[in-house]
Amino acid sequence: MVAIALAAKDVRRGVRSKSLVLTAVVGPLVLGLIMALAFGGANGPSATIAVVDLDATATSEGVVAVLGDQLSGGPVSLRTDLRDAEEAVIAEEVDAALVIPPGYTKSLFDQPLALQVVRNNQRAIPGEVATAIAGELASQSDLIRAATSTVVAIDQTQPPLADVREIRPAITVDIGDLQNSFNAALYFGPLTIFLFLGLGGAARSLVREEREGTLARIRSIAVSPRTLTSGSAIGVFIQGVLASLVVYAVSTVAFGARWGEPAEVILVLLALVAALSGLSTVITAASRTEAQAEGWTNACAFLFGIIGGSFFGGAQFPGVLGVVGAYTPNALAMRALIELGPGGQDLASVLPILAALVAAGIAAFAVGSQLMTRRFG
Amino acid sequence: MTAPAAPPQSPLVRPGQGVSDSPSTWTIAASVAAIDLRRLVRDRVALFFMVVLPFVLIFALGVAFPTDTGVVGVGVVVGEETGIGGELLAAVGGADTLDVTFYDTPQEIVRDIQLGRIEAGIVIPPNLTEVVESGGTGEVRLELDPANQASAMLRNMLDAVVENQALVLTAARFAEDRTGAEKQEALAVAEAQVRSLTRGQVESITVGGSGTPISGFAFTALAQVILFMFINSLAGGSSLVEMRVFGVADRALTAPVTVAGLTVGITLSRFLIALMQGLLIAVVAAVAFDVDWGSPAVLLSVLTLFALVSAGAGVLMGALARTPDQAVAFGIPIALAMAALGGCFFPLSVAPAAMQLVARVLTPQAWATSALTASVFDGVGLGSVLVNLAVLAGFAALYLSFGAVMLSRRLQRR
Repeated sequence: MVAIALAAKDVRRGVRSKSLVLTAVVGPLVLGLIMALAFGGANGPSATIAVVDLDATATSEGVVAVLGDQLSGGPVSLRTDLRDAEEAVIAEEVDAALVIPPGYTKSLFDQPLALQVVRNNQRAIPGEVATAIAGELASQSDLIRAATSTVVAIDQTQPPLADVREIRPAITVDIGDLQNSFNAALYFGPLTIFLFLGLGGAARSLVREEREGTLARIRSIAVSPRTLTSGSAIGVFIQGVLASLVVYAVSTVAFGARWGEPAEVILVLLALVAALSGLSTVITAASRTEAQAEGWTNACAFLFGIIGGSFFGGAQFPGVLGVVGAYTPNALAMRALIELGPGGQDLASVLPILAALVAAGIAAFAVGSQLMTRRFG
Repeated sequence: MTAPAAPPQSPLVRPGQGVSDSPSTWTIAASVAAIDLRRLVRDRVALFFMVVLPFVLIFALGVAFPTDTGVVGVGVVVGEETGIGGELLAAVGGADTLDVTFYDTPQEIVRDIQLGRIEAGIVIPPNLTEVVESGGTGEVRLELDPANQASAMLRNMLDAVVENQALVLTAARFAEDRTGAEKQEALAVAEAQVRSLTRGQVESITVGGSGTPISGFAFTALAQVILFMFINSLAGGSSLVEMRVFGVADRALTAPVTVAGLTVGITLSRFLIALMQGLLIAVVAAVAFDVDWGSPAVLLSVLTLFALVSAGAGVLMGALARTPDQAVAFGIPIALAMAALGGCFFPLSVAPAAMQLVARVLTPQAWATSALTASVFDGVGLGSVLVNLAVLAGFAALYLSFGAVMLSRRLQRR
């Protein structure tokens, strides 16, 4: 009961502490949001594309109309000539421009004409979007030329344009909705790093109390060193759970992050917090001073974050670094989350990963508590 | 009130130097900076952050960005091994640029893209031939990670593989309908036509820069320089707080040390630390990974000004934080958020225009990374990045003056 009371005290202090809230809650949310906004958020990248129709035929006008329906950035903005389009792109009135060359309709039955894309070097994604659209248009033109030339080769007659417009491709390429099904990695990666930093601060509370003399006063009421360390460990764990649940809830509700099934996500978060709490405890216990503990916690948090792929949406490095990085708590927890989310696996298949995280946490807790008990005994 | 006698062991007073012979502010500043730098060299954890961690990251990323082999890891789910599916599979497997791994389900492909094991995936549906032969349109699905900057290139690459099959089948089907030709005849003619078909091209006209793609290790190296210079300086604010709250500053001020001298000395040491770190990363990246930093004048100017920015921010954090923990707890999230917003995690050009504007207003990182990016990728000289340098100088002046004033006030209050 004393351990629980001490843990409750630590949790109260942690919740009131700006440091823990900023590090373990605000930090991952802000970083995740920046990444999500940069890469198009929930709806994917959007772009305002200008179209310069230099062909000005019924066919090219039909193409422009279809493009307007396809673009997520809204209706296309028509420009009169290439120079006008370039100026609009430089002035950032539009993100990019697509130029349908004069003679485009005629080229559908003859040699192809190159489509041009005007892109701003400072606006990479819209440039890629416009290039992809132009690529699709070029592919459709190829399709028409292949179909009409085949008819001509067999029948020696040119099919009418009206028929050509009705050509339906035998196979289309559909882009999957990877990001729409799962984008939690943008938040989860930073969470693993910041949680480690925050829990390190929480784990150092005993050392801080020792320095401030509070610990001596607590011990004067016959509290054993083991009770003290157990209370601290429970407190660190609960603070980690609260922080990660807040990040999960806020990123889901406010920022539209998609993590997967709530019960499964919560289990992954609990396992991650167990591992990181244990590691924080053992680092603190093994350090001689509070500053040293802080330094090593920060170093481990960043190192694990880098080699565990937390900065790169979960992606692992190749070679030895990837093998080592795959066994960091960051990478293991991310893998469990990805297996359960986009991987479509059930909980049973990731139980070994979760068990490994919890076992690592408990083992680290045990070693850390032993060291702490000796230190305060 | 008499001036306190200088303790004989004070490093700021040379042997034989009396109390009345007080050292100048600059002498004090130089001594304080020297002491601060010596302390840093002895602090293994600080050295780890300053030297080891950036190099772990740079070496790691150097390995992760292998020389451009042009080979892309692609996962394939084979819904049908014969018919059109089999032909598609043969086309994918025969492409030199694709390293194919087979999967049982689309979910496994999506999982491995997320984990960085492959870069893209193709899902061939089980009834593709049946759908196409019945006059319908078969759908082959591509899975790409939108956060991968190469996703457009990957899409074009995979599109091209699928398109060949689609062209023949579509042309044959159209010819069958239009001419009444036999299926086999139509297919044979269509194959011949597609073989001799000149494909339509897309030409890019790039405005607002050279158009050289910003990618790979060179970008990572320049981004890490800026990231780590700032993050170390901000986190290093904790040692300033320690100095204030644990009485080190009080003891120093009992010697013939002025608040101004102490403040200038601390700022000078932070500037030198940040600059040394930046130069060290730049030199190692150039020597070990052959990173071409472009104009040396641009590199040195940006690093010098950004070191001043970082020093100012570190001093400001050291003055504002109440406890060492608070300096780290505030410093690291602020530094990482500014780094992300300022283009240290991804080229700023991929971000929406509004976000780029916010980044330029709020973060010196945006000006530093864009100047280095222009130098490294566009090969521009000092004249082309003068605006960036001027803004960086402005940020440096703002942070340094605000930081120095706040630190001086804190020291005088004691």
